[in-house]
Amino acid sequence: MTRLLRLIIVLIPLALLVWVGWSYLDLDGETTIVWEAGDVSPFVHGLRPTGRVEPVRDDGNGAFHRLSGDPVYLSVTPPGNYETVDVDVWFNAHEQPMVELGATVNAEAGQIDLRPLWHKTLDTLNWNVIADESLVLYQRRRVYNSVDDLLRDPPPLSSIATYHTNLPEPDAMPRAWTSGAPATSDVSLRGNHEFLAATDGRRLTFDVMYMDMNRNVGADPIAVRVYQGGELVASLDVPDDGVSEATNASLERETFHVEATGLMPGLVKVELQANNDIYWRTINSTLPKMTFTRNVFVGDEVGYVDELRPVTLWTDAQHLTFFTRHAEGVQRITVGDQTVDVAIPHEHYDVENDRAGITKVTIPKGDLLVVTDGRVAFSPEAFFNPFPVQLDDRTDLDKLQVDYVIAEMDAPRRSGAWMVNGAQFWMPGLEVESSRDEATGSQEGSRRFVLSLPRVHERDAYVDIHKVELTFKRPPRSLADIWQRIRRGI
Amino acid sequence: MVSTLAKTLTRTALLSWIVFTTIELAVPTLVTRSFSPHWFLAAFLIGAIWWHLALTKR
Repeated sequence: MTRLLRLIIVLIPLALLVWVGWSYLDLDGETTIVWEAGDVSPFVHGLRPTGRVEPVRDDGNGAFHRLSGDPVYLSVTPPGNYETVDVDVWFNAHEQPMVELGATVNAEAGQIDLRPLWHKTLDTLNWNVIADESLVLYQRRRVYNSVDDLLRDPPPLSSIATYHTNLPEPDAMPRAWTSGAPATSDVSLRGNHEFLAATDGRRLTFDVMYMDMNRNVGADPIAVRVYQGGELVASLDVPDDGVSEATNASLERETFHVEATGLMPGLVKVELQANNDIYWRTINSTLPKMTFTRNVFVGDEVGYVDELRPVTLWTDAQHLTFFTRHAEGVQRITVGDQTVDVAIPHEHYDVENDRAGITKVTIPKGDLLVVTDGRVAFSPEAFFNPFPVQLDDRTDLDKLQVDYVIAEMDAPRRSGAWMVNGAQFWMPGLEVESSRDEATGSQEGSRRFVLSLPRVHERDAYVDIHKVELTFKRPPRSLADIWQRIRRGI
Repeated sequence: MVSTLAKTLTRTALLSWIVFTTIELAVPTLVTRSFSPHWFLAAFLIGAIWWHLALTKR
């Protein structure tokens, strides 16, 4: 009897050791981890930050956390080395029109691989729907039989909206984009900016006059990058002027010249990378179009010109935010027929454009950061938007007269009282967290997933999260494979 | 007999705790996804007390 009991005492840990070894080998190459609100899991480290996540509660349909801020992080320690992870989320959105799930690719650069979970507009759109492999085409009135049909004979770009997909760039640029007088900008712009131009194959050259105002401590180098089709076609690096102290001295007017040759007909993206000490005073291009992407920082002109000059810009943005840091930037902005009083420095002033199409914006004094959800040019001739409408949480399809939506998105399914949707991420592409951080819940070796709920706090909306299921996958392996590996190792 | 069982439990539990804790440290969550290795620490303590009592009673 004693021997039997001793045997049992020894066999229990041995059996557990075999079990642990078997788990480690994971022969079928698939491990699923389920986390429910309130669970303590060695893999899923809860939703963070706690200020945006309410304590767990249950109203009869299962425990859930209520999220009222954006973004919310979910750090996950993978149970081993896997190639992909399928993340499914059980959720319900209340007054929140868009929910997305992302995975952090590069936290420092803010790169997050975002995928759609739910979009209220698409979910409630009473249009003709055609699912075409991974893409879904919504048509106000059925004209096309497939996405390919639409791409072969596309309607005007402004009548198309896309969601998590891009339309292929046309082979030839419309003549309206490539002909006309060369574009120029003599607006003082401050810091990083990015603009687009279109070429029919002609080379692009541009001359920039800038000033390093040395208002902040540190070097102020400049990097100019020109891309076509994602490839770098020209670049220029300009070192700091040698003044790294905050002298506040306005120095020389400097110039540089950039030339991109051997271009194909198509779009060209120009990045002017610099910190806020660099003021781009004039930009002269040889191409006729020059539209800035989303945001422009109109700088002051102290030390450049003596008199205040109003700035006029043209944009197709539907939502604009104005912000100034200085009392000198307090002013009344005109957006089409609307006026916005920027009355207090460091306050954000939001305005929804009451018209579609290109709108004129007048800024009497400059010194203003303009954040938009569209594109911006400094003359109507230089304006062009080579992209369709990008569907976001505020897009009004009727106002923009959009007739077609192309989305890469699976419709969420129902599971009891919850909506379920998910996405697959490639594990080696995700950033591995290196240290423990209470704010984000990260652990050493964990990956950070993100629930994106744009403007959820402004709307007083919320999203309930009940469950997250993660299925990690890699190719299955047999005992023979493992034996081969061991032999190779030996 | 009791003393032998207590001895086996104490030694096995301590060794198991060391082994499983080491595995957990080497491959985080490999053990804790199934069970906590600290159960073996508890078993070790029980065994040690049992063993001690068995010896002092003798």
